[in-house]
Amino acid sequence: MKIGFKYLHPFADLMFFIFSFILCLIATNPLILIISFVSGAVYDFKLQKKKTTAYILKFILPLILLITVFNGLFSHYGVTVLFVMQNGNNFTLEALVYGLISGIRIAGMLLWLDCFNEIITSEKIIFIFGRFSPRLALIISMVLRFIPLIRAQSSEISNAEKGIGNGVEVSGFIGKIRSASRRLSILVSWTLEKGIDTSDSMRARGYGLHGRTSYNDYVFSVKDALITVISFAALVLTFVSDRKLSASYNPIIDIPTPDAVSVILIIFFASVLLMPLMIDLWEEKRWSITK
Amino acid sequence: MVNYKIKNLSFFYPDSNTPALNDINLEIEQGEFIVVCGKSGSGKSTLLRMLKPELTPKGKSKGEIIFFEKNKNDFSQRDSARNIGFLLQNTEYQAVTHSVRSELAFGLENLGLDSKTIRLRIAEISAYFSLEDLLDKKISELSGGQKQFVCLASIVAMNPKAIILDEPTSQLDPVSASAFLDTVRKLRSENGITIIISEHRLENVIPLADRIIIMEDGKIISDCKPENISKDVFYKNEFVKKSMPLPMRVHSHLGLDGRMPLSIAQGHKMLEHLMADKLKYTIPSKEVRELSEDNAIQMKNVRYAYENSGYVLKGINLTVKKGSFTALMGANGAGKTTALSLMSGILECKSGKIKIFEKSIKKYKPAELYNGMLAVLPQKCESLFAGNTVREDLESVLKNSDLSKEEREKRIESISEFTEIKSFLDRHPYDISGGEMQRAALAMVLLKQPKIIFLDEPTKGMDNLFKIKFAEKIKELCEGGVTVVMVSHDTEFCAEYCDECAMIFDGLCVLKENKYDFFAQNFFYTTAANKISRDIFPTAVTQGQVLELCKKNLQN
Repeated sequence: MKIGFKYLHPFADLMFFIFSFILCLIATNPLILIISFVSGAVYDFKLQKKKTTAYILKFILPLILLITVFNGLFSHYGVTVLFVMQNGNNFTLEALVYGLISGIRIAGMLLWLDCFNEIITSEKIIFIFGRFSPRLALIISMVLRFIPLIRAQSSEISNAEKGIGNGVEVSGFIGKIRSASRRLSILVSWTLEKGIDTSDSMRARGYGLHGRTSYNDYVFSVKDALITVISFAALVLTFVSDRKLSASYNPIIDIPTPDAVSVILIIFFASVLLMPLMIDLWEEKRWSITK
Repeated sequence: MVNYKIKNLSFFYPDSNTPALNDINLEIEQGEFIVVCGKSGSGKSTLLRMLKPELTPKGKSKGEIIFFEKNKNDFSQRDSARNIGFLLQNTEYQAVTHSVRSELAFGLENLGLDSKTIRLRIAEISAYFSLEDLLDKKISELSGGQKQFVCLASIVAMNPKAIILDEPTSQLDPVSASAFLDTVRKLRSENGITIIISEHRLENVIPLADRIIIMEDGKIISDCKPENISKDVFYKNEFVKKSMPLPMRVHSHLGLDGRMPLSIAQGHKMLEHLMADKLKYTIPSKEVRELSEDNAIQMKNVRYAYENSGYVLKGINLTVKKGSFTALMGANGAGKTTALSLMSGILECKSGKIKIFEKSIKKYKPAELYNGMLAVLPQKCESLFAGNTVREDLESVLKNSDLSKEEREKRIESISEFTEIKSFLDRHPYDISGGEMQRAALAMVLLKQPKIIFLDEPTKGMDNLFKIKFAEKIKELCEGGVTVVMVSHDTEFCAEYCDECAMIFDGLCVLKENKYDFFAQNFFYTTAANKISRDIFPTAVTQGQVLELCKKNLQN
């Protein structure tokens, strides 16, 4: 099933994530941060279902709580004193709220990062770098080939060593280091030796010829252009509207009362943040994919 | 079009006075299917590499090669990349990039094609090779056979006129190997691509060949259609005698005249004709070794599942007698290697019982288990060598033992003698040949004097001459009371040398018999000898048995 936000052009996806990260980073308005957090959570849930539920329950919520409590305990600015702690410091509402808002900001970024990992595949990263340097794109691709290979080889080596009784009776730190270094040395000579085959295979297929191109499978459609433009506009507006929408928490909580412009802005940000989800849901409905 | 014209070509590696190639004369036409064979070190790899300018080894060469009607100097790197594909035997390291799609694109990018053209080529190639399902996979997720397919496809995508394959199936199991060769055959017959292939498993490839080139000591000793190999070559050359497909061997052993049979079907026909009205004896003699009553290994109701997958072993029961040479056979994914890893304690037995010499494997301490009780010869011997010399690696095995220095040296000495590795003890492990490396690995395994040895597909990539030598060593060990358990796909080897064979299927052991009864009961998973003689001598499974019965019947 190759539809939805994940299968857009890498530039469109990337532009959206740049916007969502920057928004989380610089926005101070609690409403915007909450919207970003919620839409990030909902989209992550759409992408990874159970995994996201566990991620939110086991990590994200405790993190928000922890940041809130810590900020309350260790920051003492603000005018609304809730109570005085044993060491004589004030426990203030402002510090507590600021902690909560910071927690939501960080949580929002982490959730969007989770979506990023799912959406921006290695293929897309290679494509994006390939635009700047085809050679770099090839190197990334080769490294990605190499990592699982090395991992498989190291487990083969440790089984082989165990199978002839090497290193099974070692004890102590020095012994372990010695047996690990032996394994590493096997791995290195093995990899270097077989690497000759890789270079033969590359040369045999014409690597080094003048004028190498970089193949990609992506077509930049009108839809991609539209989404790139919307995300870019939202990014620009994030900077422009920062002053207008900004809230402060020290010494008092000061959230600007919304006027017509700021309501429109917030609605715009919210709809851009919900755009990936909408695209996915719309396309699924359109092609009647039920899961 | 003539692909290659080679005149009086000789080649010397640096610092060597003996020629690796000696006065080679050869002409290869477009669309020919050529098999190059010869024992390891005969120069076949060097010859193949001379046919691909980018891979020509460093050294001194005399004589002349004309590539596609061009002189070597006029034949540019671009010409070579476009016209000649070269497939290596190493399935792991040939793939350059991380995904199937980018691997298919790699060569085309090098040629400087634009994305649109590359997309079209990939579409064509994946339809031709049925790769659609693999296209979005990572290379690391593929099986060995699939990897080799993708590498072949990525070469074919460049639309070459000739493809050179250097032992392409030596790392594959028989099923993938024959599927692979089938595709190679198709490339020749449907697309007219010249195929030049070297192999040591010749059974499947010889019936496809237009020409077979046999090499020895850097010389071409025979270059003709496979059925025309002269009697002279067949009788004099040890390699040819032992390595040609079984129907050809039977034909020449019986000293028959007439057309030489290449395939199983032709071999079957030959025997039918031969025995038409002379058939009297049909029961071959069997050499069944008397096995001890004691059990070396018992598996009772063992189940095993890997992470994120169902049961691989589903309550397997298996007994291995002390001092026997037992083979575990079966298809890929049937659980053979898992069973072997459990018996050898590499994997932990979580459900069921495994006993080693009547004592549960869990009650052995690791140090006890791997010091003189069990040892495993890994499939990839490279995973054992770290030292600068073979001797260093041998010494490292005994480093932590209680033996005195003299005793250690004595043991290394005697085991080196036994495995015949003394001549290269002081060389670097990567400077010796694959077969020699395997023997050195066997020496490392034997140093702790294990009572049970596990082998994981040891004959993969061995030529027939070396297999015989290897089998003799194993036999000697078994006669000395060592138990050997082997996972193998090699029916001929098992029928010839094992005591017992077990068929693993779907996580269970479905058949375990002495080798003769085992293969006589199978119809498809059996030896070539059994296949060609099944209707005539139902219980003959080895070449020796078929020859014995033929001779006995012919004498009457």
